[in-house]
Amino acid sequence: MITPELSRQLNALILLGISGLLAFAFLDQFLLDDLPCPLCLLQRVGFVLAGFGFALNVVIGPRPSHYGVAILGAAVGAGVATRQVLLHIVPGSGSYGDPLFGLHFYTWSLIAFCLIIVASALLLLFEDQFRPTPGMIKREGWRGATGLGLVALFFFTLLTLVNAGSTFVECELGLCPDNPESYELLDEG
Amino acid sequence: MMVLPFLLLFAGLVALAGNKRELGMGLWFLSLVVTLGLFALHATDTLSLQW
Repeated sequence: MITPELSRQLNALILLGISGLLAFAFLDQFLLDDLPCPLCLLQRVGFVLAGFGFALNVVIGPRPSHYGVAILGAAVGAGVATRQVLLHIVPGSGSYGDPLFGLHFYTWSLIAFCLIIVASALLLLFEDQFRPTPGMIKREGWRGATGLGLVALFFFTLLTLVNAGSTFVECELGLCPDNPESYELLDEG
Repeated sequence: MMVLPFLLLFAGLVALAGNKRELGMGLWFLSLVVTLGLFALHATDTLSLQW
């Protein structure tokens, strides 16, 4: 049985995992000077779109519609990742970025989106989390979140904002070039 | 343009922080639509797949 409180904790853990993926991509961008391509950026958006559903569960409480948000977000991200995998699946068609443990980031990304969809579907099987328990505390935004949930929400929101800043520096207000070689905003300086 | 989905989602998360669920979900949905639009703009090359 999964109580609403346990469900919040599990959702916070998944949100932390997604934040970890975003942080890793960010570290790769700056430490290895690996500029993200437009499809890479859209996959990052996909992770935030999916994570939003888990954030809803942490802040408001578990609801089936929140898992729907996560699944839809992950489906969009998986679509983008699939497109990038197919772009490079034919031998000799090249690749983008360096591989990690034999697979490129977009392949790992596709695997992660599939795992998010499966995790959401598995959690949806436990209907007890959607029944209010006696004495359950009514949460009001972040003020009600505690411990793990608060940490996960903080990092997830911070990474979303930092990605917005980094994307602005790389592409300014226009569309990003297919093969970015520099940060457009810094080039002007 | 590419920055827009991130900004919309950040605004949505801020709305959640203020316990404004409907506003947050609205911004999430808007971001989803913008993301799909950007994907359509960037997925223009034909895939070199042969069956």
